[in-house]
Amino acid sequence: MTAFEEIVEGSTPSIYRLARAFVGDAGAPDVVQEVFLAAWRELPRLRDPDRFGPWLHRIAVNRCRTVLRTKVHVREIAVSDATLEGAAVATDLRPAVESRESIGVAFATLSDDHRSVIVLHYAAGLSIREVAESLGIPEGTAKSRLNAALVVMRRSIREDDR
Amino acid sequence: MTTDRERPDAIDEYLSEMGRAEPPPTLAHDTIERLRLEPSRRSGRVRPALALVAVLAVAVVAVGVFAVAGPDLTPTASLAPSDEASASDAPSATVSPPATAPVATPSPIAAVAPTLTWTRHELTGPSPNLETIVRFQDRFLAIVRAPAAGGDGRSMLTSEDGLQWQTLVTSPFGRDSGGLLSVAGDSLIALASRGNQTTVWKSPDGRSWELWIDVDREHRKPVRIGAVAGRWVGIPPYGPVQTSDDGATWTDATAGPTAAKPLIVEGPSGIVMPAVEDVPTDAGSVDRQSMFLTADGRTFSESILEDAGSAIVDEATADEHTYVALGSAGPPDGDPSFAAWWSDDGRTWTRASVPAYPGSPPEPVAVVPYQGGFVAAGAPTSESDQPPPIGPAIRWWSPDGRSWVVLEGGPEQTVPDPLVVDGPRLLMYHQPLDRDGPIEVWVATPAG
Repeated sequence: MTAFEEIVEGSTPSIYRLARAFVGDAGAPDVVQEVFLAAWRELPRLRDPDRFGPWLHRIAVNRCRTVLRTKVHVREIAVSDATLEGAAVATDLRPAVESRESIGVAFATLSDDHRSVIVLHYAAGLSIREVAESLGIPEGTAKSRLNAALVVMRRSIREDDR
Repeated sequence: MTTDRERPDAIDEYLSEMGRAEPPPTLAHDTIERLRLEPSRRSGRVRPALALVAVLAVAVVAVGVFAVAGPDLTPTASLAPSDEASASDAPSATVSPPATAPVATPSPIAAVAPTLTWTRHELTGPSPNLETIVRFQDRFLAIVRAPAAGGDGRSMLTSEDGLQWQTLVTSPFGRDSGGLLSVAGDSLIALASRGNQTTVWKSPDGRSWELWIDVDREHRKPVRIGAVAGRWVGIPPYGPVQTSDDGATWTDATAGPTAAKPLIVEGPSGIVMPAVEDVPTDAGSVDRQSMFLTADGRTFSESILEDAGSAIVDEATADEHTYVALGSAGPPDGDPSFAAWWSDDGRTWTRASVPAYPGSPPEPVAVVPYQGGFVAAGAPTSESDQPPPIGPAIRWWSPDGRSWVVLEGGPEQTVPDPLVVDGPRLLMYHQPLDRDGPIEVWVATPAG
């Protein structure tokens, strides 16, 4: 497995950044491990070695989405107290957390599709073409989704400022 | 309050920071350690899957998506036999050459595959993230990744039918991340990860777990454990196989396999372990595929699988009468072919007749006793410089281990995953990890 271990070594930063952007610091290492585990198991199904990069990133994106769905479910269960308390705290601390907090909120409220192109492009460092390959969408769609995602984030922040 | 002009800059900085985050320094190493807990596939020679990985590494560099670099992390050091070994532990070994020429023997039973009816189900339960699954004490048990509120642990699930699951216990391994489950004697064994270390947990019922083998500094704790004659036999990641009376003190077996595949088969004559032994020759050394048998956990007998040519065992199992092994074999300088072997006593191994596959042999990935015979599943592979053809999973049937035929029908797109037998039901789990979707469970039952 040495060759695959080299891939793990080389690809970990990219997959970690992707996972961290999706699920945060705490959950990212586990997601990284599961992505490589999945890739190792599923490797025989990969037809074209040239597509390994996009294929690996697609596994990572789908894994993150699954984790997020689970976390949303957990949050919904605890909504009665924790969410209301959290909202109050967020309001109280707003002057201190300033822009980073609101940008994070704007990012977190993006749709899965928008967040995926942002993360693949900015966190994983993929080109637009590679983003498109990873998500299985046309390059033009990837480009327009990226622009739309940025517009949504900016609009969200402006509305937040009012 | 910041202005609109400052916000886009802040967005740029936010996105830029995403691309600068550095992973924890041990993350890649930890991941590799965890991968080593995976049931290994082919070993001992360049294998199609491995060759594909090498091609991938080159391709990855070429497209510049990743910077592929890293040391050879395969352990090379071999430890001397433990000082703790006592005279009573001193194992003895006998070596048996192949009892038969590598010619398939005809089966006394006509190898006519049964007709199975397959139905597709979707797994339901508290978590879709199945990690491993076993059948234990007349029920199904599985470890799933189940992030709890504020945590990120695992849960043990249980099921009566293998389809509908419910939580048996959450975080059974404390803060360790549990992974591989196996059955050894009357115990359920789980391998878990703690950072880049491995811990071994034991349970009598799947509900209550005790930390059995804690971390060590040598990374030589067993990664597969079997039980025979009241003793434990463990296969470490590398080096000699280990034995133990109590599970607390493990000693290297001085005459057992030194390079056992992480696979233990409990069968009618004791524990069988496939191993690829490095045998010195005048020209250097050669790999020799052997099957080691121990009936008492102290003494080992070695049976060489093929005296001329190479052989690789990928999977093996046993029912109450017969051991079977599947893999590939071929002449020293020739192409390997799909191959299978059988043994009634774990010592004398005979080549079984198998379907012919032109080109690269398929890779068996699972074999289980089923309906008085055996069912195996495999995946197509390819030559080293070619990507693997993605075809339907291949399944085989043998009434007795002596002859194998293709088992027709069943799900076409499913790459074989764990096979679990529950009476007349054969369950095949498949998690489509590269796309969203529930775990598929294909259930086969004899037609009529």
